[in-house]
Amino acid sequence: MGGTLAVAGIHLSDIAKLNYERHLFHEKTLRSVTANTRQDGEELLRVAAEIPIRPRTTVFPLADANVALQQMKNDAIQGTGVLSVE
Amino acid sequence: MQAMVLANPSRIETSPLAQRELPEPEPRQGEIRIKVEVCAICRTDLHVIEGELPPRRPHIIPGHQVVGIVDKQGSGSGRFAIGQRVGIAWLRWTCGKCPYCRRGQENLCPQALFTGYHENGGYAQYATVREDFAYALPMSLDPAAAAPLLCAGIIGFRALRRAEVRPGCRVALYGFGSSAHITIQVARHWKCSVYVMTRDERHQALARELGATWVGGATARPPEPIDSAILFAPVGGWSPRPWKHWIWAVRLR
Repeated sequence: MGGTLAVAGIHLSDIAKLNYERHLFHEKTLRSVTANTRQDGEELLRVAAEIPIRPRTTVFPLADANVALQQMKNDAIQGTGVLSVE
Repeated sequence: MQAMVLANPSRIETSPLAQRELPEPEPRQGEIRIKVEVCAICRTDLHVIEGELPPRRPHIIPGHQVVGIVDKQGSGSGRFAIGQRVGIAWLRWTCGKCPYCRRGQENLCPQALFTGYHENGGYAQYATVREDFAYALPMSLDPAAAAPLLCAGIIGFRALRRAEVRPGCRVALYGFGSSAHITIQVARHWKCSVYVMTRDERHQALARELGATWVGGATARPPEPIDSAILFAPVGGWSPRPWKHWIWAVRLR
């Protein structure tokens, strides 16, 4: 058994009632992720250069921030939305 | 400078960000100012804008995945040269003295300040940050490709660790937005088999393209036991029901 579930959200609806024996016993682990340390950031940037990570981006002008955020909310952006600042 | 300012937190459909002409911020002691090139958007920005996170500062400029060029140094600053590319992320100040800071958990510092929440962020032509919280970025990097690393990337990376992902293990990703699409690239680099659960067909297609072993709908069950799972929360959260299934899906072989 075992296994670990990490939740990477800053804001979430309530967690359902869990059944202890089925959902946590046998040393299952449920964790949250809260922000990050600078060390995480430096390490990720190193790994990103090594892989290299290639994010998929959709670029919007800064003035279209409301539109970009609405599209993100509606799941209409693949990858990451980026505001371009002139 | 031009900036997108949050006048009153409200639903994004009402376009709560307004374009304003503001004075350029001056870097204080220990800070740098950057001329912003790009700022990636994040679901946390939406939580700030829609008021799901309690407002910390009126008329805030959101944005915490900021890439730009250092154009001014505050007094005592010298870590970065003028003209160097840097990134500004969510964490922008910690006390350095509390037990969390002292044991390498500055992310839990009760006094921590965050970019685009406690202080102005990157939806603007200029932004400031303490130089010791900025990240050096190579000039060869495309700024638009670097920006998503600064939150989506870093949080996904921390989540991989928190989920105890080890090389070659089976990883489930629930939700496949900005952070997950970077996280899968790290997991694949570690030779993990990645199982992706997401509703949107275009997100499913991207997951396949990025090397997912298996892709299913938002509430699908991975076909095999999973060692580690990461839940990327969608805006507003999901119905509580799938929790049981999320935690049940993780079980070591």
